[in-house]
Amino acid sequence: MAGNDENSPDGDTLAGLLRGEAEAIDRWFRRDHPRIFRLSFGLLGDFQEAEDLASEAMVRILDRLDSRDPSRSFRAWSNTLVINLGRDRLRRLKARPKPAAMNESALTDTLPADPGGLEQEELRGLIERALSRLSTREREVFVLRELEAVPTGEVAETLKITESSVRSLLTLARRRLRDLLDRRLADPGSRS
Amino acid sequence: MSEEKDEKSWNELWRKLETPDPIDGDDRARDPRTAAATAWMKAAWGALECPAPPVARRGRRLRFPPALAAVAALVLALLGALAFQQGNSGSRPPVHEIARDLGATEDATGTETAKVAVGRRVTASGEIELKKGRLRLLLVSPTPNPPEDPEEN
Repeated sequence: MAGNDENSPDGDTLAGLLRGEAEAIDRWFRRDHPRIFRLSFGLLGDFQEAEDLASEAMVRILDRLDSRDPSRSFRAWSNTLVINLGRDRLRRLKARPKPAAMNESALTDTLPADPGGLEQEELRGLIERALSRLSTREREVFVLRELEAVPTGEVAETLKITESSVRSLLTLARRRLRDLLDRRLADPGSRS
Repeated sequence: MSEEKDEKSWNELWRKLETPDPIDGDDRARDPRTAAATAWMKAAWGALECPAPPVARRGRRLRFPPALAAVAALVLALLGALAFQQGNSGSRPPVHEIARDLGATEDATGTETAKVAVGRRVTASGEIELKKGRLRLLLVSPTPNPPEDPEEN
């Protein structure tokens, strides 16, 4: 996997990050924070926790940047850091009792064919509940490969598993989501 | 002999068992329901709005502690100086006179710190004001909004 891939910050930004320049850090935050936030949200299924994880991960990435193997894809390397931090946080979250609302059986309504028309809060809730049906590994693979469109080889590199495992986990995740969403998507456009 | 025959027939049956496709195949092409569910999730994901990068928040967290430390140092210095002054003075006027000299008002909701001769009151905005002579000190709480200039009160 090439180090200077199109998903890596440009050379000037990387050099600036290594020197700790505020302008480069600001540029990188604006560029990569959405990606890291989405991945955090996909891993944790909790918007507030994802905000904290994304911030923590960005700082950790900056901190570790000088020890990064330059032959490795920047995105794969940074995604691995986010996932490792996310797993730690997930373990801590699982040790806590869940709020009552999280235990409720959700997704009882018919879903709109176009989720783009939903309020953000409702949209987050639906995504959270759907992803919560997947195992941690399935979720990691589904978010990276399907939702973030990361190539299979890079997902395997990020998660340190084989490409065959990536495909298997992805198929299992798709089936689970099909079983969850299928009945609710039966009548596209029926939801007001 | 009969046992061996049974075993063979079981083996034949086993081999005839139909196995599902490997699960590393792409179900979407074969199953429109899977394709629809996956497409819906992707559309929902694409519609998700991300929060703004939290650079400002990090700055805010780092900004307050030095201010708090400065206020605490001022209070300590003030209290120390007053204690020293009090220890060196031979005769002192009654406490209530000191409080009056400092301008402590009757309607102050706080208590006068009489022993160190510092006027103390809680302001309308909930902050603690310390007074000694011309010196007025406002103890601020760690909120994002800066306190008003004490000189304007």
